[in-house]
Amino acid sequence: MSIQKMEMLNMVGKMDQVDQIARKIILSSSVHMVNAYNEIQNNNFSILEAKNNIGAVIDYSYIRPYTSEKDLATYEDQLKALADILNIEPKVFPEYYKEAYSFKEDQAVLSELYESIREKHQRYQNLQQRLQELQGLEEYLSYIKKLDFNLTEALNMQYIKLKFGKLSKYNMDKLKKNYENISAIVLKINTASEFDSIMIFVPKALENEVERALKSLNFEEFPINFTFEGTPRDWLIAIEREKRTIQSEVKKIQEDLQDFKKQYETDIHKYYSRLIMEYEVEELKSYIVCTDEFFYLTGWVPVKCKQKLLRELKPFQNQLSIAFRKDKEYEDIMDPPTYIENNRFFRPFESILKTYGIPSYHEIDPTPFVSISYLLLFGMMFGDIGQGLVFVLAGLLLMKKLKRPNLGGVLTGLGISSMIFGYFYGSVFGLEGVITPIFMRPINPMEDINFILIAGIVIGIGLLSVSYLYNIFNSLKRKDLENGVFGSHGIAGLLFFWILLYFALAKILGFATFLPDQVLIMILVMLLAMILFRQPLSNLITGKRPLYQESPSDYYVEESFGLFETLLSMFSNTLSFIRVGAFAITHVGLFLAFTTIANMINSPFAGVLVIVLANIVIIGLEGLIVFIQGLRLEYYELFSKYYDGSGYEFNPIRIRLTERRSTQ
Amino acid sequence: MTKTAMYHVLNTKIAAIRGKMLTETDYRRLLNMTSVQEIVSYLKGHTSYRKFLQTVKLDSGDRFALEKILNEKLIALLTNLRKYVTGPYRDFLNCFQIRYEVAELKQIAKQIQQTGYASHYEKPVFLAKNPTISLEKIRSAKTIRELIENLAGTFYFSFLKNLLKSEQITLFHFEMTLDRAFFNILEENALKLRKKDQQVFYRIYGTYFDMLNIQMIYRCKKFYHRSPEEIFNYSINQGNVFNYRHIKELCYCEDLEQLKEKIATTPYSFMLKGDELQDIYMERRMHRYMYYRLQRALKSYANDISSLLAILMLVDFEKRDLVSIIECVRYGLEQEKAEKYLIRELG
Repeated sequence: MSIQKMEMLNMVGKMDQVDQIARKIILSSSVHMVNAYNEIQNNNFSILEAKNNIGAVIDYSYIRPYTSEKDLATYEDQLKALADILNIEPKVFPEYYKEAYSFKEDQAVLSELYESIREKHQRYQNLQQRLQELQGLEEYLSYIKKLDFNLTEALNMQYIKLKFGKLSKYNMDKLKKNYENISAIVLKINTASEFDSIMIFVPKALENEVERALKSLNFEEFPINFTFEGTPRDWLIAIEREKRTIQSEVKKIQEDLQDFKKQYETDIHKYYSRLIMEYEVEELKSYIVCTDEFFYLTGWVPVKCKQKLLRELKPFQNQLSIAFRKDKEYEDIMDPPTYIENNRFFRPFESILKTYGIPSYHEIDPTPFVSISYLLLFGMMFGDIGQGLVFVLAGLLLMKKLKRPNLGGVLTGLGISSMIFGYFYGSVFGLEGVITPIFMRPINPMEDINFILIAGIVIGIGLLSVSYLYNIFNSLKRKDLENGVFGSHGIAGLLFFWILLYFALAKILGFATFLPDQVLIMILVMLLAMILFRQPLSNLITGKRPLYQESPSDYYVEESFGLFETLLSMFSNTLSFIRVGAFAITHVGLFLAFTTIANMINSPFAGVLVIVLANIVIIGLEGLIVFIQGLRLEYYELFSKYYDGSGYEFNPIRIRLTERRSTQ
Repeated sequence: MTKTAMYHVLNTKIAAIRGKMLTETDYRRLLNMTSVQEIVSYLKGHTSYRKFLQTVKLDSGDRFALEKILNEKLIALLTNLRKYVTGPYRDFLNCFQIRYEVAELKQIAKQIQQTGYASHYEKPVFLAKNPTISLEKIRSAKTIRELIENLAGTFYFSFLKNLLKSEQITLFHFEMTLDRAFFNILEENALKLRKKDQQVFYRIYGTYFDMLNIQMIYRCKKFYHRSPEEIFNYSINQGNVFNYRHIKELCYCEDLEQLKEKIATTPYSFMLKGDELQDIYMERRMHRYMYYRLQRALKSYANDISSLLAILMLVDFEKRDLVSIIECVRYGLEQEKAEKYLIRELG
C-alpha cells in the first residue's frame, strides 16, 4: 500500500553475454531502463568511479551507444510468411523464450525451413494464379460461346490482333463518342454494373496507336496465356479439363503442406515466442552503451525486486559488476519512477488516480484514501441493496469475463458500498420498508432532508481535512515549509479552516467559544497573514535568499488575489459536499416519482413494469451521474488540495504481449 | 436535419470563414515584406493562420514546412465543414480530401521522376490523414512503378493498376489517371446530391471544367504531343460551354494556331492570348476568372451549396496566393511583378 522504494542499478558486463543477460533482465520484469549514455556523461555511473573493474574503466573513452546488428525484420517476415503458408496463428509460449537459446542458430534454421517450403508454396501460388486466369478466361468465353468460329485461328491472325478486356461505363461512353477516330473494331460482349466487357480487333500495323488510346481510357486488358483448339465452346470444355488437372495438383500440395504443418507447428510458435523476446532485447539494448568488450547498463529497480533480479543473474555473477545506488543520491538529478503497489481491494482504484496523473515518487500513495472516500461518497449518494447488487454483479462480470479488472473492481467496490448504505436507508430496489436495519433506525433521506444535507457537509469537512493532512505530510517530507506550514493548504490553512468552522458553528448554535471572539478573530487574521507572507517567511527560516522568487510587488498582487481565491474556494469546496446529501435525496425522489406513476396505473402488471423500468433508469442514469459527481469531488475538491500527479510510471522492460500485437 | 437548415448552418459557418480570410490590406502588407520570417510573424500576429503557425519558429524559412501548415489549415476547414453536412453531402465533401491527396501523390511521383526517391517529400499532410495509406511505403518507392505497387490496397490502386501492365510508366500517365479518377468521383458524388445542388455544381464547376479541358488540350499538344484520341479520352465531361463535340473539335485541331482561333470565339479567349507569358499565366488567368465568379456565388448565401463550393475553392486560392507571395518575397521580386502572379487582383 505504498509507493515502492527504488534503487539505481549500474551494471557492467561482457559484450558477448549481452543477449543472455538482457533476456534475464526482461524475464525478471523489474528494471525500468534509463539511458546509460546520459548517466555516464553526467558521471553518475558508480562502477566507473569505484574503478574496481580496470578493464571497463580503460575502455571508458571508447564508449558508444549500442547499434543493433540483428535483422529482426527479415526474421519476422520469414516467420510470418511461414505461418501464412501453413495457416498457423503464431502464439507465444513463455517456456520457449525462458529456456536458453541462440538467436543466430534460430535464424539459420528458420530461413532454411522457409526456403524448403517456399518453393512448394511458390508452385502452389502459381497454380492458384493459373486457376484464376482460367476462370477469367472462362468468363469471357462464356459471353461468346454461342458464336461459332475458330477462336484459335482468330487469335493467331497475321494482320489483325484480337484482344479481350474491360472498360468502365464512363470510358466506354468516351470511346463511343469518338469511335469514328479509333482504328479498331470494338464489340461489347457483356455489360455489368460498372464495367463493360469488350472484344477488340486491331490491325497490327496500327496497334501502337490504338494501344495508346486504350491506355488513356484505362483499358484493362485480359491477357490470354493459354492456347486450346477450336471454337469458344471447345475452349470452354478444354478449360474445364485443365482446371481439374490443376485442382488435383493443388490438392496434393495442400496435403504436403498439411504434413509440414503438423511437423513444424510447434516450431513456429517457438520462433514466434522468441521473436517477441528478441524485440524486447533490442528495446533494452537501445538504452545501453558499449565498447568492443563491455556493455554498461543503468535502470531503476524496486528494492523489493532486487533479490529476484540477482537470482536471475546468478549464472553470470562472476563476469558482472553490479552496483546499486540509493534514491537519495539522485535527489537533484532525477526522480525515480513511481511504482505503486496496493492490495487487491485498492488496486482497481489506482486507475482513478492515474487518469488524473501518476503520483510523484516522493508522495505518499493516496490510493487508500481515494478508494475509501470515493466508496463512501458513492454509497451515500446511491444507497440501495438491490441496485448495489446489480453493480456488484456487473463488476464481477467485467472482472472475470470481459477482462476489465480495473473498471470491474471499481464497480464491485461501489456496489458493495451502495449495498451497505442501502441497508442503512432500508432500501431494496427503491422499495423501502422491505427490510429494517437491526441495529439502527432507518434513515429516510426524504424525511430527514436537513440531516442528510448536513451529514454530506460534515463528511466533506472530514475528507477535506484529510486532504490537508496529506498535503502537509507530503510537503514536510519534501522539507517544503512554504506549502507545508504556511501555505493555504498547509498547517496555517488547515488551522484557519478549522477555527473558522468552529467560530461559525459557535455563532450559529449560540454556544460560547473557549476563547473570546476577539482573540479568535486575531488568530484568524494572523493565519491569513501567514499565508500571505508564506514565501518570505519560509525563506527567512531556511535562510534561502532572495526572499522572493519574483519581484515583491508581483508577488503581493498575485498572493492577495490568491488569498481571496483561497477563502472563496474554502467556502465553495465545503458547500460542494452538499451534493452528497442532495443526490441521496434525488435518488429517493426519482424513485418516488416512479412509484406514484405505478400506483396511478392501477394494474399490478403494469405497476411492476414501471418499477422495473424505474430501476433500469435509476441504475443507468443516476448511477452514471453519481459516478461522475463522485469523481468530481475527488478530482476537484480533494485532489486540488494535495495531489500533484507529476510523477511518471514505473515501466519495467518485460514481455509485453498485448501491446506488441496491437502494433502488428 | 432538413436540407434548408443544413444550408443555413453551412452558410453561417462559411460567412464566418470568409470573415477570417486575408484582406486586400493583408495582401499589400505581405507583398511589401522583405523576408519569409516577416511573413510568418505577420500571419502569426494578425491573421487566422495564428493557430496553425503556433509551432513554427520564426526563423523557419522552409517552404515545404509552410506549405504543410497551409495544408493543415485546409484540413481543419474540411473537417470543420464536414460536421455540418450529412449523407451524400458528406461524401461529396470527402471528395475534396481526395483532391488534395491526389495532388500530393502527383507531387511525390514528380519528385520520384526527378530525383529517384521520395524521402525528401516529407509533408504529405492529406495522405497522412488517410488510414489506408502507408507513408512509409510511399517514401520507400524509387520508381513510379514501385509507387503504384506500394499503393496496393488503397482506393487509388484500382485506378492505377492498369498502368502497371505497360512497360514504361510515365509521369504523364500517372498524373492523368489520378486526375481523371478524381473528376470521375467528384461527378459521381455530385450526382447523388439534390437536383438543385447538382445544377449549382455544374454551373460553378462546369466553367472550371471547360478551362481545365482547354488547358489540358493545350499542354498535351504543346508539350506532350499526344494523339487527339488520347487527349479526348482524358478530357472532362460536362463543361458549361463545351459539349463533347466541341471538345472533340478542339482535340482534333491541327496545331496551336487553330486551337487559339477556336478558343477566341468562346468566353475563354483570355486563356490563349498568344503572348509570351501565356504558359506561365494560363493557370493564374483561369483561377482569376474563377475567383470573380466564386466571389459572386459566395456572397449569394443562397439556399444551396454554391457558397460551400465557392469557399472551398477560394480558400485554396488564398493558399496558392500565399505560396506565391512567399516565393516572390524570397526571390525579391518587385511588388508590381509579384502582383501578377496572384490570383486575387489587387485594385
